[in-house]
Amino acid sequence: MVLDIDKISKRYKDKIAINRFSVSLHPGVYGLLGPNGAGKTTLMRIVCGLTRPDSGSIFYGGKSIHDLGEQYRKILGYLPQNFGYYPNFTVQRYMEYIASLKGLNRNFSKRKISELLEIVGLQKAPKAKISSLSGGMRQRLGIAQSMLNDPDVLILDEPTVGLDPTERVKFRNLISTISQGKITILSTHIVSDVSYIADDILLVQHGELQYFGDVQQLTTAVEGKVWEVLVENQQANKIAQDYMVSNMHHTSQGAILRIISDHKPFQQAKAITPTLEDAYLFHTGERGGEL
Amino acid sequence: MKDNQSFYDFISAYPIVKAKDCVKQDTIKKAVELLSQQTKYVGAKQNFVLNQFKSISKVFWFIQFICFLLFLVNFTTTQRLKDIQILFLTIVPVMTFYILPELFKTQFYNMEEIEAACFFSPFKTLAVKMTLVSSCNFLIIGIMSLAFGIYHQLDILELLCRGLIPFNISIALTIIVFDFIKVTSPYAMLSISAFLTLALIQMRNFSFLLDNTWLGVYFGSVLLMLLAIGIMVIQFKHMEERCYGA
Repeated sequence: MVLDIDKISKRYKDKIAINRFSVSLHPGVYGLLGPNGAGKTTLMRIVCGLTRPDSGSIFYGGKSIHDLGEQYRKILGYLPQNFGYYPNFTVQRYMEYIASLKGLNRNFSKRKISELLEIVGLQKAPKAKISSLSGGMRQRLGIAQSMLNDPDVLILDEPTVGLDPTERVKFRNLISTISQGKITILSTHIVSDVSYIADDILLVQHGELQYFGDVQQLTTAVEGKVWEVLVENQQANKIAQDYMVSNMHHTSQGAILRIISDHKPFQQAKAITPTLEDAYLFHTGERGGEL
Repeated sequence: MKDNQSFYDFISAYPIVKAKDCVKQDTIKKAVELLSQQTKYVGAKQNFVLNQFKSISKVFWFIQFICFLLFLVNFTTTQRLKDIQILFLTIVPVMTFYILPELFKTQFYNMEEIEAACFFSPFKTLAVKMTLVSSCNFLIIGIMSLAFGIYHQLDILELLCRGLIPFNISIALTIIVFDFIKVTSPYAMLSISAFLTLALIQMRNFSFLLDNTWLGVYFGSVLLMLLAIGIMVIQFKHMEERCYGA
């Protein structure tokens, strides 16, 4: 099945959140990248049917998701950025509650819940209160709830925010495992997360699709445009104002700057292999070096 | 006797290859999985209603229990119709006190987004929740009317209608507040609910509720409740226009 996003636009008062956004998504993991306020969450909410676009439509399998209604929600899994829970809920109770809202019967949900809790590593904590769980465990529970109905479309909004590096690695592996055969859209502004698990990248800025393609292509586009140079520590901030600096490392010998520029910024600068982060900064025009 | 020979000849013409046990197990497992996928939505509505029922907070049940206790304490001492009506006007608003916080719970605890992306729409969830809590109140009012009617030889239907007057008004006000007031703090919600309850208890001082005009007041309260439900349905229709999920 294909998820077609067709020229959708959304405006909040005088701010354009999404502007004629079009893309066709086949099963695979898509990393939705963009700076804060780029329109990622609005896009995700529209895809989930929580917000209606001012113009344009979304089609799933050739049918408008508006017309599909609950049939679309049947195949949808969603993990919002900040998901809530009732304070008295235990892990098991929460899963049972969401399963019932997803229209699943008792027997199926019982089996599915234990299966999912095992996948996300919460099989030993079904009776634990959600409020007592760590941030990582809570996020894993969020993922588990989104998977209850075996969704064909899985939307994860900033799932790795607030997780420590170990939890993030675990989480990335988990998403990679569960997203097989599904259309998974993963919104984040942590570029490294996307580079590890996404098949394709959707780069959004000012509500528009800046780039759609694989990670390799995106980094290829900035090949020969990323430079490394050693400068005096005092000069570093001045250079960061004039150039796009993706990394600044102060050492006793001076500051090692990673500069993104169409031309060689300094005589002593040497071209280096670009990373996804460099490509991201290049396309969004954000200046990593500025404070 | 039936001649089954031709049938046996026919099936023996297509010998079945004996499969290994692990292959059989695998086939059975796949069939079970397929069957469970096909039947996973059977009985979903019952499960949905049951879970909504289970998610009603303990505070609500505690209040119902207290109200019932209040009724039991006053049961034998309250004899006159006027006094029963006063008792109804005191107990019923208290009974409906926690409906509003119960309905707003989804918003307080940030469950809105996840719930709205689920199969059962927020409107259905709200309707079921409302029906469950109202049914519980209605049941208690029914028991009270029945008990008073039998014990004091009074018209049970009249008692039920008199009991439903504060109930209908309370439900109507609850829906109106739910539709028009955006509350994000549980404490603010409890305050509003407490204020409404106290205001409703003051109906005890309205003499027209206690004399013969009660039937008119009853129908008025039914109309008010229907109006409030109508407004809520329209509000949700508007919400449906704004997003697919509702």
